[in-house]
Amino acid sequence: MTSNGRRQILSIYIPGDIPDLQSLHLNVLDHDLITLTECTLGFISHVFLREITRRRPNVTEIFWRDTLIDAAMFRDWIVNVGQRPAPSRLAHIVVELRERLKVIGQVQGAWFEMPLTQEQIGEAMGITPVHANRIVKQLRDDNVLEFHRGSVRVIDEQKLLELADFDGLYLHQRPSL
Amino acid sequence: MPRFHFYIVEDGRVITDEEGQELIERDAVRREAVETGASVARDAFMQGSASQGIVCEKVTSCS
Repeated sequence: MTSNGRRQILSIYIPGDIPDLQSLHLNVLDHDLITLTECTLGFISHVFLREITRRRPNVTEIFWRDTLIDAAMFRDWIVNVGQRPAPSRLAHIVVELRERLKVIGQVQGAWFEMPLTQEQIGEAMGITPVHANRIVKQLRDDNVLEFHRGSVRVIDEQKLLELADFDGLYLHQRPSL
Repeated sequence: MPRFHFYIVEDGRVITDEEGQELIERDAVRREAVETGASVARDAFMQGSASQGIVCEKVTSCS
């Protein structure tokens, strides 16, 4: 959030993610976490986490790896917002979300959930809601993507991938531990 | 609160804004239009998809 009230969305978490693992070692939360939908939240006590990470190095490695992948995703997010034109930016965010949702079995059929308002889509892309509205319409008119009530449908896979300029390497989805 | 709808006109093509935004200050309305215009123009000019763009706002409701 900037001092004049502009918000930048930096990441989208999906079921199974641990969004604030950093609070284990950084005592102050330096950003906000908000829910986009009704959520079931699980809490793991810091006391327990500290104990298990000290006793079980393999668990520590997994958490460390999770944090590193988080960082890789933030790097990609910066490149996306800083360098791609707006239609590509949105396509990239959609493809990333879909690749992650696939892993947890949340992409079935043509539609998948992307419960962001037009304003939030703008905040994820670093543009105004009005510009976001224009991009959403353009992608629909160009037969790439269709947004409807918090869900998205891929109309043309080929066009989407070209536009998204997506290489999923940074998601490190192949477990190496 | 007045609800403002920002219409984008690119090379004569009108893109409507059904959702609109509630804004109080006149300055905020202007800023929204200017920032939208600048970022739309950046994209459009870089891709060569438009040579002229206008953002205009329209108030639809006051309460």
